[in-house]
Amino acid sequence: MFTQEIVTVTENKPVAEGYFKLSFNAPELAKNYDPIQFVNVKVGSGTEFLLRKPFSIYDHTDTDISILFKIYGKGTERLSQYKTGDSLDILGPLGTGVVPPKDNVPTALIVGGVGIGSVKALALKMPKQFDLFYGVRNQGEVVEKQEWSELANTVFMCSDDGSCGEKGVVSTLFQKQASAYKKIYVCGPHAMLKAVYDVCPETIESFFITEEYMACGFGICMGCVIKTTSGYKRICKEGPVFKGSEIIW
Amino acid sequence: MVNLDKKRVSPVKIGSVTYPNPIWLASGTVAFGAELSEILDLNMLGGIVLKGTTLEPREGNPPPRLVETPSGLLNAIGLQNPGVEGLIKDKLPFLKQFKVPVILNIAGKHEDEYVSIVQRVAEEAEVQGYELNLSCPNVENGLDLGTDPQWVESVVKKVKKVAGNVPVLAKITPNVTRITDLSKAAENGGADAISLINTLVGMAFNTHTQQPILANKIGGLSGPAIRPVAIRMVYQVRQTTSLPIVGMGGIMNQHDVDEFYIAGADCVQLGTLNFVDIHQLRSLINTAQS
Repeated sequence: MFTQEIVTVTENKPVAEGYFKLSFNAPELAKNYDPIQFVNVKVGSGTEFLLRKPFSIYDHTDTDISILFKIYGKGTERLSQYKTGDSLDILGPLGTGVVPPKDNVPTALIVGGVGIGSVKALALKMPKQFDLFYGVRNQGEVVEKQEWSELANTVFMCSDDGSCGEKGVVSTLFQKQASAYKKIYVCGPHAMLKAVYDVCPETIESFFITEEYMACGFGICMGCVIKTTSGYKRICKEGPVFKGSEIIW
Repeated sequence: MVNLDKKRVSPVKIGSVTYPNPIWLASGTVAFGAELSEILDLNMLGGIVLKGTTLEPREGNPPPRLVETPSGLLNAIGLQNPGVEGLIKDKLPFLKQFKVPVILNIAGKHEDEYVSIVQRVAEEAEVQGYELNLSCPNVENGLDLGTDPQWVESVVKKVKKVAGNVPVLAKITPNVTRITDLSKAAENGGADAISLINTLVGMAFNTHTQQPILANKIGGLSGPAIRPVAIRMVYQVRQTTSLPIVGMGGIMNQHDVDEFYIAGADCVQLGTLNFVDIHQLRSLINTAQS
């Protein structure tokens, strides 16, 4: 069950270069969401931005929800200007979340850039039997390094420029150790998702957190689809998580 | 002067059906109602117009299917729908639990398809309106048949013959020079009401890749950006007909609803708003309860 709520921003702070973590007061939502679900956020007033913008729920406390975003365009730039005490209009929780695995099969979270913003809620609810493969452009993009090193068994880093971890892309980093895992959750740009899928052995159960231009966020506009083995599916409703074997790459 | 207080709560009579109030939801912005019913009481609506339905199922266009433009939404969904059999089997039964009048939106490839869809639905289900989506791109020669008044008149006439007592609403394309040529054609064909406007044809490029953003390249523009165009067309059509007019195009608040009434609409459909602001949607619906 999702609702539209006017919430109050409790904190909005930079957490890496161009990255912000925005928290808002929403006690009901904090209790009632599944990992990988998202909120659709109205940024600005009136028709400054017509459509809502979707953000994964990053983390929560007893009373607050936080989202993580990177400044990409005018909407996220405007969102970065929100201050503590400002009102924010949100719709959520949306999408089909993930039930955290209870089994202790060797699991990897594989993320690129702002994709880190979609997997923390899952990481918090998993048994501590996962490794994190984290690809960034450069050192300045790394979010909550200390916290992630406590959450994951091991964090494997890589960066485009070599300023952090290995130089290279996260799919290659993962490929070297893929045989150690039975299950993976992957989030990042589509090209990165595909690169991971391409190197992922068939023996691994793979889940991909997808994105697309989105309007309503709850399944009525049919805008944000992905092609699957059973036709186009809505990323906002049946997704955003799809099995690798289900996606037509 | 239009009596807005009265207009806002007036039932709307179209053909043999009286719709309880003038706030309806537009085709393509409600899917088939199920998702919206989780957050909105459908019983309070004057009508709900379902997603454009074709004779055969359609999988729709590849993504990206939509992009935001200034005060607008450009989309090319490609009529993804389960086809008329899927509609009858999987979609209409759910809506029986609500008292909201259900209006089908019908998108044929040619005249006979409109007729076949109406005939098939009439055999199996009870609905309170057929809205004909008369923007019909003919892929083979690149023409939009819906811009041809003779074709519009002919389709409406054929559908009216098989529609029985169910009102036929002609949703004409706004992508023409003189909208009244089409509204007159629909009226001559026997339409019970005119729905306008459908989306305006538009396009957007990614300036980095220099490629169109939509996979379909061209799409339909909705939202507040098109409201003045819609208002102008409702106004022009009102000068030439006494048929009921169902107005739509970028309505976001009560001011916008009232503007349509003043221009000559008898009722309105809310569309892009459904994607954006459920609170505002509820407020407009509440205002319509007498």
